[in-house]
Amino acid sequence: MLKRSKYYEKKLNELFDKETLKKFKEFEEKPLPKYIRVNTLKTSIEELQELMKKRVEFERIKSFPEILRIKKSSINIGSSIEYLNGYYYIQDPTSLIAVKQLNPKESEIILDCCAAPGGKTTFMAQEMKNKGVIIAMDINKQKVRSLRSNIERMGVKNTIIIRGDVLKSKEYFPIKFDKILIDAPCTGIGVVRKDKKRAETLTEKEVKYFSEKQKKIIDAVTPLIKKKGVLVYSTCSILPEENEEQVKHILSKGFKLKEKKLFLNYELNTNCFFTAGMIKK
Amino acid sequence: MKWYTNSEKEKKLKEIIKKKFNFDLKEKIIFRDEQAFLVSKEIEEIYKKILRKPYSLGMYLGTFKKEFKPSLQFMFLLSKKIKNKIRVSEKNAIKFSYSNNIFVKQEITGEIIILNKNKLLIGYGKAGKEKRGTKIKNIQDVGWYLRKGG
Ligand SMILES: C[S@@+](CC[C@H](N)C(=O)[O-])C[C@H]1O[C@@H](n2cnc3c(N)ncnc32)[C@H](O)[C@@H]1O
Repeated sequence: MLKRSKYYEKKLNELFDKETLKKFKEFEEKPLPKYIRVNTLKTSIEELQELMKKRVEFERIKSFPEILRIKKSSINIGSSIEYLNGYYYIQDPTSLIAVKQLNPKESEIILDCCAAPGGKTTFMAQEMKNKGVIIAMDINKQKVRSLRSNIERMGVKNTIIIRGDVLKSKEYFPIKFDKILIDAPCTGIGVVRKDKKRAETLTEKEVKYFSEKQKKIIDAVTPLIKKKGVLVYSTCSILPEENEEQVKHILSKGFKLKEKKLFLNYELNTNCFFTAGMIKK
Repeated sequence: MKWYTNSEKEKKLKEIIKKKFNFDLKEKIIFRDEQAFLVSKEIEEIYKKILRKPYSLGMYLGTFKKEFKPSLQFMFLLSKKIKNKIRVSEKNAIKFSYSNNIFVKQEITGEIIILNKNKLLIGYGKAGKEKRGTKIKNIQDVGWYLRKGG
């Protein structure tokens, strides 16, 4: 059985009613299905299914036309020739919602300020048909390497990759962006199904650390959005300190909320994911 | 690491690519040391405005010193458009994707793109005649993404 830190257990009890909690805990123990997002810059969902039909059994997911769930597979999904040709990215369907909320367009200039390893950057590029410009930034050297590798593998050509600190965005970018995605560094407590240890180690101190960091990131990038521009804030956490509180902070800076959603693990049988779309007044 | 544009070098590289692959590149090329990147007007415009040097941008074409070595991303594009390519058996495809050389029956020479039987990119090599048949020496293969890409 999954071990949870005292703090995490306490938090769960505060957050959910009995019934939700029961379901939530049940799903934390369940194995996580694998999903792939088909790269329409290179192929179609039909072509990919046809190419891999002897090795992988897929299932399509309602309301996610780009996603396939792996039902059965005789190969490693992360090293097939189709994968290496950039025909797909291994990705939860919920992650796509953040990009859908951003709704990036072909003519726009976008900042993806915590971008590595590029799951959302490469989906944005797909939505933008490889046009416009995405500045994809991350601070971590190793992760920037994988960001670049994924961008090249997926055939993306509308990005400028920056290794840098989002807190210095104002120094780096004397421009205004149409849209910004903050896929914030977080406790990752929503991905317990992938990383069981997470439930055991979560502390209050950590939550404080991340929520302060998230606030700083918000303060650093919100001035760089154009009037009427869109900001999407997302995390893989279920904690209000990392989600609703941050949204409140953003709204206090002259934004209006369009839509926010917390996906719990049982809703789509995925990791948990929070995402909120806002518009600068 | 230095980023620069150089219209002479750019012209030379475009000529080499034209000659080698019969492939026309229209957009601008920006260099970082030996690395060449193909960029759209929009990318170039933002690149000029920002005050932080990029890590990479646009489409990575490959390295160009004396010779040009195409990147995997560019190879993928070439594989859909050019003639000098060869389809190999599944066994050879796997072997090649682990950075090995392979032998094929076809009589070919020179630099060539390797595809599997479903026309997916496997890599890029140099073919030459040997006693056992045609040897394709591995220059670059898609397994790189797993070995080095991270
Ligand atoms: C949740 S992950 C991003 C996942 C990514 N958006 C995707 O969809 O694949 C958060 C990222 O923020 C980066 N990060 C943390 N602090 C940062 C900072 N000060 N500046 C830039 N990036 C930072 C981390 O290195 C990490 O890769």
